[in-house]
Amino acid sequence: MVKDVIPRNLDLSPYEGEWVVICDKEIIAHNKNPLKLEKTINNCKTIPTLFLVPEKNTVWLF
Amino acid sequence: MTIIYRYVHGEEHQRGPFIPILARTREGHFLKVSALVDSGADHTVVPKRIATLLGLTQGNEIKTTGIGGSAKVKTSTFQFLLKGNREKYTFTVQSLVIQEENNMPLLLGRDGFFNHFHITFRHNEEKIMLKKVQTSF
Repeated sequence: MVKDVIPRNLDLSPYEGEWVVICDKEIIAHNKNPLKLEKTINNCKTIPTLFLVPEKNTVWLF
Repeated sequence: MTIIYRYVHGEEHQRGPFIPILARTREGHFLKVSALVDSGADHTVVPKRIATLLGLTQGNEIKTTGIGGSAKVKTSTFQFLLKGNREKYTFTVQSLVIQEENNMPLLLGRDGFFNHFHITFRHNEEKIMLKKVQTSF
């Protein structure tokens, strides 16, 4: 079975370069600083997902 | 058992081999973080703000060198779960907390993780496959 990391119905494009919190398959908060999402994360009744939406014209070199 | 993840959807620059891991916080709660599976990284690298969010204890500062230049990191221990279809795997890996407050994802490196799975990047199909290595005792 193939699993999706992020629900495919979610449009991530408005959140480029930001961390998003996904709770019950919905984006409930977003911020460049994930520490500012702590309260929202704690309010999610299920296990929330935290994802950094890759930014256009930014290359990750590690 | 093989776990298959489809790449994150969206524009080309947004797609990559991310997998959802359940990171354990200091309080024993779990936060699902999308981690980039990085076969080029020796160690798991945790962004500073994510380490703070999880309450990771940070140890000695050391210097690292990579293609992006040098960076100051602190050593830490990072615990997480990976859920399969029916199975669940627990990991405790030595990790590095990057001290600069830049925006980067959590990188899942080889040490402590890649030795437990046969990992296949099917980049043309935009999928990553993880097959548990069978160990006999």
